[in-house]
Amino acid sequence: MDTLAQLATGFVHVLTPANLTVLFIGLVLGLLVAVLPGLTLVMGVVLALPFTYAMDVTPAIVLLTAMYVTGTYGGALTAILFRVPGEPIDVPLLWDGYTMARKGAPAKALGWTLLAAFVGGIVSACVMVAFSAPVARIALTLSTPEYFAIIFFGLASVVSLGGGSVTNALISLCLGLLISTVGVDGTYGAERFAFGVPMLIDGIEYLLVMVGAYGIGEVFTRLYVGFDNAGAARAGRVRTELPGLREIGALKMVLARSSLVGVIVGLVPGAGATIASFVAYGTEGQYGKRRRELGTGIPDGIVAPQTAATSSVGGAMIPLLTMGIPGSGATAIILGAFLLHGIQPGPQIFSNPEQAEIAYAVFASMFIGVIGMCLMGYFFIKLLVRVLEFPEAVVSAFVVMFCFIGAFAARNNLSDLYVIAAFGVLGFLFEKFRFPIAPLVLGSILGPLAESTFMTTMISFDNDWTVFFTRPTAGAIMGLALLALGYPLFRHWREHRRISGDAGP
Amino acid sequence: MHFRSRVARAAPYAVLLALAAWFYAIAAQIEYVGPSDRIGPDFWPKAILGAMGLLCAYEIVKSLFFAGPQSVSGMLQNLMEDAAEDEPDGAAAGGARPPDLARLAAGVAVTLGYVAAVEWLGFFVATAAFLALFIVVGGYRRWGVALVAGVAGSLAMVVIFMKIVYVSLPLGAGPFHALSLALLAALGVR
Repeated sequence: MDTLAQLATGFVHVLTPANLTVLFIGLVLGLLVAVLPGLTLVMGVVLALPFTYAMDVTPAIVLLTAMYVTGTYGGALTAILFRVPGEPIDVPLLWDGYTMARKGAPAKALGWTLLAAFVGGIVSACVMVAFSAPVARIALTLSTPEYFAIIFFGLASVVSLGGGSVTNALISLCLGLLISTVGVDGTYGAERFAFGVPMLIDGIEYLLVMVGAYGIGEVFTRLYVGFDNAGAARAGRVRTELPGLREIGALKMVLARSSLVGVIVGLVPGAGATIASFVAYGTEGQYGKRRRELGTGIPDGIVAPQTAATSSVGGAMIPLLTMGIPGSGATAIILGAFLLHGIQPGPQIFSNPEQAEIAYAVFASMFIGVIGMCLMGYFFIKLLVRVLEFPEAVVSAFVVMFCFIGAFAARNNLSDLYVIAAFGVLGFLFEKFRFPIAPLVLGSILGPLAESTFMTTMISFDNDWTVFFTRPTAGAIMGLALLALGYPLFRHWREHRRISGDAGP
Repeated sequence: MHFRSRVARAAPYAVLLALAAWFYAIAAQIEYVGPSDRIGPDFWPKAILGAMGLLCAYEIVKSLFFAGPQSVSGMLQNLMEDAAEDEPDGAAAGGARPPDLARLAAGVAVTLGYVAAVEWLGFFVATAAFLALFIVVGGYRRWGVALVAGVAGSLAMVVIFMKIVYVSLPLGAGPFHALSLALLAALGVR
């Protein structure tokens, strides 16, 4: 009851003209960013960050969260209509969504996507409301070894779940962690890797790493490959046809399974909407009633990835709000916005009435945002896909500028522009040599927290590192982390054996 | 695999290994005051650098002596590969264009030039020039449109960030400072 009362208060907060305007802007920007290939939802949230500096904390978080949610949906429209996935999340939608559209039912495919995003979003919001406060209560009982174990699990997950080589992901993670050690250390006050440069003594803000590597790095990569300045084909007559109740009933298990997959994947620090989308599609491929027909343009193949992608948002927000651990690029920026407004997310957020109000306003904005997103997707789809007609060179030039302004405005320091330009080049080199960027960024975000929890544990437990394995909760989480790290090795070994077996005598 | 391509594959890891060794040597000299029975501020970076060095060494050895197409890959990659195998017509494949290092170098130069010049030229002039130049470098050949996009975009950003969001953007030096002040006065920004 208390939760529902607080949620009602949250709705009252969001339903003010100022917050609703911000929410609307967030939804529009999120959809636009998601529609444009090359602009990922993380970049979109990064670009919106400077606009939040002058806002109160509630509208700031509402804006970024709205962009995060809609970012999981907008790209589906262009994936289905033009075979242009706006985000990596939308790649699975090419297989059934685009195929259904090509078979002459684009309106139906768009309708299924809309329904899936709606269900995923509402489930996600419900999960956030139901589980955040209980998880925060549990988090209050945890000590530093458990916190370190959770962070270690997050870092291990981003390495094993991501794409590409695991060794490269680990190296990328090490670089991210190393970047986070630059400056004065929090335990002893010793200067590390600063070389006497004042800018480095202050440390390298993870925001600069993120904006540079994700934003400018991506622009450089696409510039190297060549921008698409011709724009996509014109939309023609685009409309959305919602499925009937009987059709929806037939897919209730797909919706339930994919929502669950999305929430669970979202909860894992390091995993995100892209992994949720692929895992849900894979789950349908293994356990779905129509698994043999996947790829031929059936609704199951549209509903599964879209539901999971949108429902992952709620899962990702829970560790952020309850433990202050951002599990994805987007939630890391939302954490940055919280910190810029003087609020440290964590278990205490629900025991502080003022901060709990903000948290419940964010939850309420999720419900309204999901409904708003679907209404916009339904009524303004033709307008949205026209964004593709913008030449990519023009869009990219503005992206770089927004990155610069975002980085500059955070500290009003022109030297930061050199730092993000350098990380932009590093981001390009990472793409070129196939090193994933996500571990680098998460390493720089979680590095200080990982180090402080590790050092505090070592000091409290007389340098006894076994404490991470002997305490039940920490030990269980560390076990999971080691399993996550070991899984790719096991899979590789099994594949190797299979290939050796096939090539055998 | 040819020896030269093996060396090329190992090269980035060799660079990173050298970097890790250099930083490890610096970490070993970190000065601090604290009890001798406790781990110091050098422990964490040394652990990271040690792990990084080992990983790089592993990749160098693998690239030089056991080079093959396989590597231990993450779950997302496996899922994508599995799905691509089942895909009816390779829908995910996009049309590839030849990469252009000169275009990239020009883009990086324009970006670094902007960073170096913004303090002197001020936000409005530097941004208008950057936007127009970057659009042209990006392959968009309608110069007039690029110029208009640059000036209009820069003006819009000045209005949004200085008048609405209250971000204090660089005003420039000398005549550019005067120009920025005149522009802000015309826009009603105090």
